[in-house]
Amino acid sequence: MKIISCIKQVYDLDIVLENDWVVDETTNKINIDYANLIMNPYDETALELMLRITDSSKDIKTEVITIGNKKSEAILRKALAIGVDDATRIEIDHELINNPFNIAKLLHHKIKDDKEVKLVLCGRQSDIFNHGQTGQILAEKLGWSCFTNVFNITYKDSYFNVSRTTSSGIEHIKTNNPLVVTVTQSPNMFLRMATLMNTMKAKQKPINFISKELSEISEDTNEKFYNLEKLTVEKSKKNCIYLNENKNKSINLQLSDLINNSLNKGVK
Amino acid sequence: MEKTEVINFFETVLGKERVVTNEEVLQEFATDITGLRMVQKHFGWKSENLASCILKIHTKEEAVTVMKFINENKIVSIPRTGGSGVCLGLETPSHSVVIDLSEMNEIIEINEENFTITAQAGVPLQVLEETLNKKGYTSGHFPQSLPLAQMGGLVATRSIGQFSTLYGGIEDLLVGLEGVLPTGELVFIKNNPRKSTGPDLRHIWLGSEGAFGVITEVTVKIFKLPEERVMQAFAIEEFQTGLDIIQEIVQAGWKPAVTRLHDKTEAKESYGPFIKEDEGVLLFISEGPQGFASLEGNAVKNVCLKHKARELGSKPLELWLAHRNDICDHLDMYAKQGAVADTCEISAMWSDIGKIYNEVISRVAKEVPYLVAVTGHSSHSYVQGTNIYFMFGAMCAPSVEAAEKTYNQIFGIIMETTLKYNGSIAHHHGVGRYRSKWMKEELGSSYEMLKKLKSAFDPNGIMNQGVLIPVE
Repeated sequence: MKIISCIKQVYDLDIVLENDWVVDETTNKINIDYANLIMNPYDETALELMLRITDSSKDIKTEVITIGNKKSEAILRKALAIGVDDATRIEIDHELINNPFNIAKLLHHKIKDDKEVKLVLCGRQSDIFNHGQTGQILAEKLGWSCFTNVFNITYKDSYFNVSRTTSSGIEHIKTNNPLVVTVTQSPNMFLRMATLMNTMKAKQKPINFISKELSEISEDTNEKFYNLEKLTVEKSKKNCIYLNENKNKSINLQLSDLINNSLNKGVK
Repeated sequence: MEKTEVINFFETVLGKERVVTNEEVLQEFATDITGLRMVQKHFGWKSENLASCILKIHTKEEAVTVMKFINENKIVSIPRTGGSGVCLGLETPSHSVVIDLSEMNEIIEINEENFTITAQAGVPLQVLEETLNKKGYTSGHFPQSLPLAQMGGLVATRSIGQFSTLYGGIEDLLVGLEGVLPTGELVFIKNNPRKSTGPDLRHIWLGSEGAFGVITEVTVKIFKLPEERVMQAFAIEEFQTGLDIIQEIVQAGWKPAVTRLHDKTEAKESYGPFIKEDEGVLLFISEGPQGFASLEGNAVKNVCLKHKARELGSKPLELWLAHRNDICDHLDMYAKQGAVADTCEISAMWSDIGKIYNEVISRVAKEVPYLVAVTGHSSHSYVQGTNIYFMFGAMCAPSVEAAEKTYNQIFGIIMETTLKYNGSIAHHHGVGRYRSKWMKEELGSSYEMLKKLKSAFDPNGIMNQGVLIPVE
């Protein structure tokens, strides 16, 4: 059996300075090139979940896939350094993969004929476009079950046990396979660290490489790419209000009024 | 004396609500934020040595009464303010008493004629700095613990800030002080610009780590907010080149407030998109009155270019300024990943500092089996030498004992190498209980002076027992 984790390289948005969130109107982009490239945090959690499954089931093979240029091999090497068996990079013109449909199409093309694969994990969304659809579209194309907002998954007796958050609470599901899960972050789940020795070893490991034109794998010639028409940045306004206990109104009530008033005014 | 009698006495002096005996809070106060304890807590560590109570002191008179009582009854006590120590200096021995001064938090005076600010021990540095900024002044003191640290603790640990090359460490900033000796006498060192009246008694308190009494009030220097600031970064190929550049700059008489050299691993992590593979990064901020910063900035640039450093502009500094204290927001992140991670800062003369850096990096990489990374930067420079702030992380088996073994191994290599080259085992984090085992070697023959000071000031050996001098 094999498990695949789909990972993506994104800018480390935590680094970006508040004043730099300005759209360049000629390029329709925000210049954040000075930010380091890291693994999408949601994908990190998905990858950690995959490794936890193999911690207790050593006979399961693991693979990571990314779509991107040569630079994105950094995250594949990081995955290899923490114990993933195989890594594959699909290279394609970056402009063509700015939408989840094309990403899912490329992933589907890579995964569909590998009968060993019983589970694909994707981060719930990427930090850069936030579409949050790739996993679902991939499942649709593969014809597999899909569970979203997963925060834990284990494997026992040929079944996967999936825990996911829903608007009404937490669901624990025992499921057959194959399946796709989209993983959400949980506060105490961090991707394990690679030792220096394994990082050095991972630099020597081979990375599978696939170079594809979308037209080569597309069955539907009418599919259109998304075009980004306009990008705007909404500056959040921060304000600090001190609440003091008074005879007429408790702090709880004052806070409740403030929240309700803000909601009525459409303040987020 | 029975624990209940002790607590009854304190409740009479302070009131019941200011004598904390809640076990959860005592557990929280049982240690500080040393990296070792962070990861050990993740593996289930809990202190077996809880204090009897925490005393929330509000006035110097209360501090005097409490100190007299604990001295008469020989109760081990741990003075504490912000709790941002990283050397186990705040660990509570069993049945000890924590003297918490964090609620003594009034700013007493900003003296705009003499350029001083007087504050009680529990005033948070952040509050002090913001108060000064509103009036056009700065403390010039920006340690990484800025969001947590309080004034008494900063003096007691010989703190230093990130802008120290211009403003100096806390020892350069402290003007006067008030404290209570272990035997209960309230003492005051008056404010003067300089004096020649015997040994400088402020230095008994600077770095005292609670071993010689409790600090209740401090007066420190203030400065005008700079009118001009010049920020510039450079890439260099070799760490030693960066050290040579800093040495040349400071020995020429320049004092860029921020003078930092990050090795290639740190540079890649924080400034990756700016540099080429294997380059380190130099960061400089010059600031002061109009005209001064530009003048100094030009001099700094000329030295850097002479050594073939590559200009990176000011953006890396903007990033550094915005993110320099981020670590305080996620201190336990590495622990949650199961990694033994911490920092260790040492100092040495220019002739030796490069050797220490190279040997530590090489030995730790070779000898620590599950090392994740070991890095270093220089962040506080002087005419005679500089510091290296090592940062390390290593994986270990998920147990309290394995974490300690790994931590001891890495720390041991740093301490051993530093002492081999006559460096100092602590540049600004202090000694605490963790580093006290190396103090004899650190101080050599002057260790006797420290022991005599301790026995003179604290004849019963009750004040923060085990810091500076290990319990034998």
